[in-house]
Amino acid sequence: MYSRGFTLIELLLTLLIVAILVAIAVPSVKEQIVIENIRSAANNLKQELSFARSEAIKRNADIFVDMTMSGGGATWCVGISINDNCDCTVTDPDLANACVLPINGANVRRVLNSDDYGDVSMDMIVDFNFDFDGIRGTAGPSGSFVLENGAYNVDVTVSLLGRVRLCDNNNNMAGWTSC
Amino acid sequence: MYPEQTKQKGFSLVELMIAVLLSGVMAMAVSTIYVSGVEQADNNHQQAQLNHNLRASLDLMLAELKRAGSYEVDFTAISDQDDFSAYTSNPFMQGVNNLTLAGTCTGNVCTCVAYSYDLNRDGSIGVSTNPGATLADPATENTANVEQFGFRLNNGALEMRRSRAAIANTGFDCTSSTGRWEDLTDPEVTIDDFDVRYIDENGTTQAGPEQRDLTNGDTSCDPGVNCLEIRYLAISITGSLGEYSLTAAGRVRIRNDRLYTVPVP
Repeated sequence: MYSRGFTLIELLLTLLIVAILVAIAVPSVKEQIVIENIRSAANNLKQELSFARSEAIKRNADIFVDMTMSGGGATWCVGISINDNCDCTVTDPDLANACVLPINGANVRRVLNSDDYGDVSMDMIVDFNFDFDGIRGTAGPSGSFVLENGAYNVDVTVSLLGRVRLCDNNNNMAGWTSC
Repeated sequence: MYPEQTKQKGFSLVELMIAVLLSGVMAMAVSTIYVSGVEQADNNHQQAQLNHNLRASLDLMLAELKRAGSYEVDFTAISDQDDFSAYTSNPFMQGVNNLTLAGTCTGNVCTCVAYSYDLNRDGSIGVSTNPGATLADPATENTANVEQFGFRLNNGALEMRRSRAAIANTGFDCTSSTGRWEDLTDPEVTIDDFDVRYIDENGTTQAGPEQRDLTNGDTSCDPGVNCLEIRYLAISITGSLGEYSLTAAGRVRIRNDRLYTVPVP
């Protein structure tokens, strides 16, 4: 049976429609990556701080949290440690000011780094270094800081009770509690 | 040579409109379920937040009050074990540092409890190498021994006294002028009621701690006698968030009974 193929016009039309759809989809995929970066940064930070609190109670010792920013918050790190005034930029775990937890006799570095989270930047009004009390499980002092990525802005609040809460400052992230 | 085309009959306009109407009705039904699901999730979140705030606060209070008056000292090193004054030297139960109920008291029920204990286990309280320093100045402050704490209701929030307002402040009470208070509960949660009261071991409200006169066993202590105080407290917190309201209540016996000589007025 004789079958008639596409005409050139039909093919061009199809390609045009595909191109338009791709052009619409690409920015929205890019936006999803931006959201995903800030979402994972916020969730991992929350998890790390909750872990710090449970370690404090488990070890019956204060656990210190250090946050260091540079480049206006573009580069940041968060470290937890049994060392008072630990510095999360120190990479050698055997130095006295490294952010480490001793696990089975070895010093294990516990640091989250901005390198792993794309363009997520950090902002604090004042330097927010605090500790989780090993006896009470409370955070001292309580406070908050901000994570930012493009149009998205997340508040990370550590309450006196040691609870870590996340909320969406710009009210544009689906499924998040607004601040 | 094209094959002969068969005649195709499409939808009529009426059929199409009925189909659109039906799909519209279905979409509305599904979206209603979705919206109510989102609302339900929000409500659950509120309920969980309220529950967590109240229970975690109550747990912290009960644990903290159990420690009230604890004092790190080696009693085996006391040379004369019969010397009563050796036991009354606990600075965390003397004078201003002793556990007190204050705030707004109606009858025997108060809205604040203040207590102290040896958090850093060094046997000292309120000792500073730099009494002029303010607590806001991290370079010069010495907060290690400012171990005077409290819980109170203030402006719809539960607050915890973290330390003195300034190192030089020797006052220890439930006011904001002497202490540095921090919110224990989230700002979204409103605490409507915070009650703290003395009870006996059966839970009946009392005017004060249970007393034992150590010389004659009387249940009240006269001025000048050596006295043992057994303290039971009942705490109740009522809070609300959105349409939810919750009360958390607990009782605690202060583990460290107070031994003291009742001052002669």
